[in-house]
Amino acid sequence: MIEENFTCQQLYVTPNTLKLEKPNTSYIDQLSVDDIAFKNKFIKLIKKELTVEIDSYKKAISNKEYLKASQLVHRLKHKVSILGLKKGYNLALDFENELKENTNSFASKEKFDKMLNKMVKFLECL
Amino acid sequence: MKCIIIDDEATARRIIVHLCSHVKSIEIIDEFSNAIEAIKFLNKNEVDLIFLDIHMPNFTGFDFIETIKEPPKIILTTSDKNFAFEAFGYDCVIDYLLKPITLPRFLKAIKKVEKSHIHPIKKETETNTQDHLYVNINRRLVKIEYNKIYLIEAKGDYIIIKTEKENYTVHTTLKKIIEKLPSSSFLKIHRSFIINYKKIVDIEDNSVLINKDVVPISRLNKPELMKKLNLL
Repeated sequence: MIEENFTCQQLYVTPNTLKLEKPNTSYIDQLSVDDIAFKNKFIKLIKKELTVEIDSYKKAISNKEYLKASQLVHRLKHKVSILGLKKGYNLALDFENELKENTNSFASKEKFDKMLNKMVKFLECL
Repeated sequence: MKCIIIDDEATARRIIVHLCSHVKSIEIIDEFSNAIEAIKFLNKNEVDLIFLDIHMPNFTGFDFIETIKEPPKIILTTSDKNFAFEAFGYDCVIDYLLKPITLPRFLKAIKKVEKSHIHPIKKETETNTQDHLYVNINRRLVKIEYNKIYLIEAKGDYIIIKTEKENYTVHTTLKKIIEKLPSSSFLKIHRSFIINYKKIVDIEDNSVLINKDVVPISRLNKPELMKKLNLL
């Protein structure tokens, strides 16, 4: 399980106060402009899809279906970018390649799992 | 512009739908989470533009392009920069958008689509795949196979289409009929004659013997005819 404790205050950062890489709504705000209804629906959709994708990813890892897991990491990569995680994107890319190559030494897995947890917690706070 | 979206990720489809709402000329007529369903749809419906995700499980965006016979204009969408080179190897691919897609970049891609012209190629292919045409004779549509025609002659407001069995008089012009005929067999050799140059018996100076008809060749059209012939 990917577990880490965050409070909403620790997680929620606007792009202006961003120092370390943390999830942010910069892209979502840019996309929504002033359409609050769209923004809310869109966040709801990301939350829903992210939960399903993380579950499928975990299942693929525990079943040692690494190619399938790499495809799921690829999909998750888009949501990593949507939440403004630029370094996270590169981390996801590395992990996707490690899974494709199936080296059995997935160096990026731990960091990737922590990032997913951060993303989930961040979305819960919105 | 009638468009469809193909992407296995609902979030990605939602983004494109929202971006399209900024462009009046775009009408999203359907969305698909897999390429197979989209192919079934395209067998029955025509679209002007497809937003196509490259990376989909089982059947990728490139598999999709290879499968459909006459692809419309396509904007590829992907989270990978690595496919750009491969993407532009396809004539139908107008642009390549990296996810997450921003509005300014999206609008730039739409402008490219509006400026591009790939449909004339499609039209030519359609014409060339036909092996016959229908002509209106006394309110009856008569089918004539191209390979039966050896000569078409202009006579005032009419043309005479000559085949080995019979001749057909049709109210039209040489200009209109030549657009329907495959250039791989037919050539206008004089302002009043189109011939099926595969049926030429012989050529002497400025005339052609075709079946039993002797047809003049104009000076302007002769070089083109000579190019078409398999000369020793």
